[in-house]
Amino acid sequence: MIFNSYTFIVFLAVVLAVRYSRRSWRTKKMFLLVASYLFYAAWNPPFVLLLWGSTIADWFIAKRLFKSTSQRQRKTMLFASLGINLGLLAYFKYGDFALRSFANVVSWMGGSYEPAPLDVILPVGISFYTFQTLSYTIDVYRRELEPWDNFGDYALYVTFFPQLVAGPIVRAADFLPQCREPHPLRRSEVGWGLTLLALGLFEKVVLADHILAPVADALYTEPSSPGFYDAWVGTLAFAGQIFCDFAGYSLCAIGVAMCLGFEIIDNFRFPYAAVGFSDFWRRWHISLSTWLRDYLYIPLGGNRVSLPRTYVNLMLTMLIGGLWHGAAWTFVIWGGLHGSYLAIERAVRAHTKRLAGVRWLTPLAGLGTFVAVCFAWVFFRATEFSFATDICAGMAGIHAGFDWETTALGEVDRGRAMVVMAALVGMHWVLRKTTLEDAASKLPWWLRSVAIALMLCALFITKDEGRAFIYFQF
Amino acid sequence: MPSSTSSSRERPVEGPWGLTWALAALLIAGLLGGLEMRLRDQDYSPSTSIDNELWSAQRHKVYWPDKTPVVLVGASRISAGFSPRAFNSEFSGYRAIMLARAGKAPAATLIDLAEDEDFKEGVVVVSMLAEHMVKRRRNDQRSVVKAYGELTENYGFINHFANRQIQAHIEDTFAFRSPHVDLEAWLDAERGVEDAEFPKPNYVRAHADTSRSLDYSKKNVKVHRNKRIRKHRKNLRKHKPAKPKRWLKGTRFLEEAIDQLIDRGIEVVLVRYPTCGKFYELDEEHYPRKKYWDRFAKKTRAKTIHFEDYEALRGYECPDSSHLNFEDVPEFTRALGGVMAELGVIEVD
Repeated sequence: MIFNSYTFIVFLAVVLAVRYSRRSWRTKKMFLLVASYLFYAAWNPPFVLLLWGSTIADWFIAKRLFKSTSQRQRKTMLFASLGINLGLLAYFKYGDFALRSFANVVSWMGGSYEPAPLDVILPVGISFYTFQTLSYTIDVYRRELEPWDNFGDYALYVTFFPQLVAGPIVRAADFLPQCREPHPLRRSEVGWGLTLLALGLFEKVVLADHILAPVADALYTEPSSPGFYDAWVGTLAFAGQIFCDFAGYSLCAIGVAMCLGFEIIDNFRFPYAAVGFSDFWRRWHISLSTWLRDYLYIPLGGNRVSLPRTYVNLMLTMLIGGLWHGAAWTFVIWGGLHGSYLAIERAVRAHTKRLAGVRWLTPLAGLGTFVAVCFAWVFFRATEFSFATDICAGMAGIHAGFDWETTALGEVDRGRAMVVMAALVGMHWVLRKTTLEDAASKLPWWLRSVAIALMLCALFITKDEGRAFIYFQF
Repeated sequence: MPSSTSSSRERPVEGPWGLTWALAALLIAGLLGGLEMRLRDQDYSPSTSIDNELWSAQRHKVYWPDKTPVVLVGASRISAGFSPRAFNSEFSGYRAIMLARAGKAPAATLIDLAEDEDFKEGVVVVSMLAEHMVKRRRNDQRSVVKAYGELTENYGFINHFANRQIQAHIEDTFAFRSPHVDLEAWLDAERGVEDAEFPKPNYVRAHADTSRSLDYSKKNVKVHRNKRIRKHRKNLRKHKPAKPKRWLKGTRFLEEAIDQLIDRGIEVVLVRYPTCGKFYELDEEHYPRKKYWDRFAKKTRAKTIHFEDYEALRGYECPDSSHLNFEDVPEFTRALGGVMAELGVIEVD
C-alpha cells in the first residue's frame, strides 16, 4: 500500500479510530502490528513470511547473544544475524546483479557465460527493515541495548507501517521505549502530524510526480546527445523530483507516526542548502547516513586512524551506501562520487581553515555543493552508464544546444519545473539554519489553514498517476 | 544506540489546530465546490477512464458470492446502452457487471469467461453484430483479458482493484477530478491567456462501473451521425461479409465458448442491440438478418434477443444511428431485463 492511494486513506482512518478508542494499550499495539502486516501484505502477501523470518531470527539471536559470556559464541551469533540479513539482501537484491557482473567479467576475459536471469522479485522495503533488525542485534552485541522483553513490541519496531517500506530507518533504542507506556495524544501533535502528511503528499503528488518527473523522464528515458539546457534542466528536475519524492515520503511517515503517538527521527533538513558534502549528508537521508556512520564508518576506524585509511574508510562507506540504493554499477559510481567529494572536502578543509569565517564564500560553497550533488544525481538516475556519460557531456556543453527555445524534451513544461526548482532551493536557503517546525510556528494559525487548504486543493485537482515512491525500489 | 539526530516531536508546533483544520476544510469546500459548480455550468461532467485496471476490477466481481452475476459482454452499444445501476435496483438478487469495451468485438472476453472454471454461476449477456462474429475479430479484446491475467498474478491485486475502484467513483462524482477535463487548459482559458481555448465538454461519460453514458446534446448530432455512417460503410466495404453458410461455419469458435458456459450451468443470452436509420439499413444490406442472425439463433444453444422482436425494445431513438441516448438507457435496461425474465434467464422477486 502506498501513501498516495485511496485505500491508504481508508486504512489510516480505521487505524486512527482504533488508536483513539478506549481499548487497552496492549490491544492497540497488537492492532497496530496486525495493521502493519496488512499494510505490507497489500503489496504482495507471501513476502510477509520473509519479514517474519528476519524479525524472529534477530529476536532469538539477540536474546542468546546477550546471555552468552563467551566472546566467540557472541561473535558467531552476530555473524549469524549478519549472514541472515545480508544474505536476504544479497539474494533478493544483488543476485541478478552479481550474475550479470560475473558474466561480464567472463566475457571480458574472452570467455562466454550466459546465465539465465534469476527473475527474483525484490521485496519492497527489504533494505530498510534488514538494516533496522541488524542495528538491534549489533546494539545488543555492543551491550548498548538490552534485548527487549516483549516480542510484540519488537515485531512492531520492525514492522511499524509508516516507516516499514522506505524509512526513516529507526533505531530500536529510539522506538522500543515508546512502546512501554501509551503516549498521551496531544491535539498539537495530531494537528501537526496531519499537516506533515498533507505536505508530504503535496510534495510527492503535485511537485515530484506532476511537475518535475515528466521533465526528468523526458531526458533520462533515452537520452541522445542532449543539449546543454536540456541536460541541466532534466537533471535539475530530477534533483527536485528525488527530494520531493523521498522527503515527501519521510514527512508522511513522520506525520502518520505522530498521529499514532510515535516519534520518528527527521530524515531531511533542507539538503539543497548544504555548504559542503559532510553538511549535505547531515541533511540528506539522515537515518541512513547516521546508520552508515555508526555501524560501518566508525567500526572501520572512522577518522581516528591514519589519513590515508580515513580516506579509504570514507570511500568504502560511500561505495556501500551507493550499492545499498540499487544493484547497478551506476549506483556504485554515485556512491564513489560522494566518497570522492567527502575526501576532497576533508583534504581542502585541512588547508583552508582560515577561510572558514569569510561570509561571501558560504553561498559560493553552497552553490558548488549543489552543482556537484546534481552532477552525481546523473549516475543515480541514468539506467545505463552510457546514458549517464551522454548526459554529462551535454551538461558540459559538448553537444551544442545553448538555445533555450530548441529542446528535445518534447511537450513537457520546462519553465514550470524550473520555477518549482528555484523556489525549492530558495526555500532551503532561507530555512537552512532553522527547522520546518520553527518556520510553521511563526505563521499565524489562519495562514497555516490557507497553506493546508491550498496544498490539499492542489492535491485533489492533480490527476495522480499513482506513481510509487522512488525509494520503494531500494 | 539511539540515533543522534532530532525528531519532529521534540518541537511540536503549538496552536489552535482544531480551528486551523476547520478553516482549512471550509476553504477547501469553498474552493473545490466553486470550481465544480463553474465546470458544471459550462457543461463539463464527471467521468472516469476505463483502463485495464478498472476493467479488471469489474472482471473480478464475477466471483463475488453475494449476488448472481449478470456479466455484460460486448462493444460500445451495450456499454452505452445498459445501465447497471438501473438493472441492479430493478432486479435486486443480481449484480450487473459491465465488461464491454467500446470499439472492440467481444469474442476474447467471452472465451476468457468460458475457459474460467472458477466462474460457475450467473448469466452472460453478449451484445454482438454479425460483423463481430468472425474470427478476424477474435482478439479485439485480448489485451484487456491478458492484462487481467497479469494483474491477478500478483497477490496484491485486491488492493490495486479497490484503489482503482475508489478512484473511479471519485472521478465519476466530481468533474474537477475527471481525467477528461483538462483543468490546466481550462484554467488558461478562464484566466484569458492568449490563444487559450476552453476544452470542449466530452459527450461520453464513463462511469465507475465501466458503463458509459452518451449525451448527444453536447454534440452536433447531424455531423456526428454522418461521420459514423460513413465510417460504418467504409468498414463494411473494406471487410466484405462471407457467404452466410461460410460465415455460420466460422462462428464455431463462439459456439464452443457458449457451449462451455452452458455446460457449466451458466445462462447465455445473445442480444442484437438497436441501431437505427441508415446504420441499420447498411447492416441489413451487408448482413441481412434472415441470412445471418436468424440462422445463428436457430443453431446456438444460447437464448437470443433481437430488438425488433420485442415491442418493449423497439422504437428507441439512436441519435447517431448506432447508440442510445443516455436518457433512454435506464428504461431500455429495465425493458431488456423484463425480456430476459420472460425468457426465464433471470428471476423476478
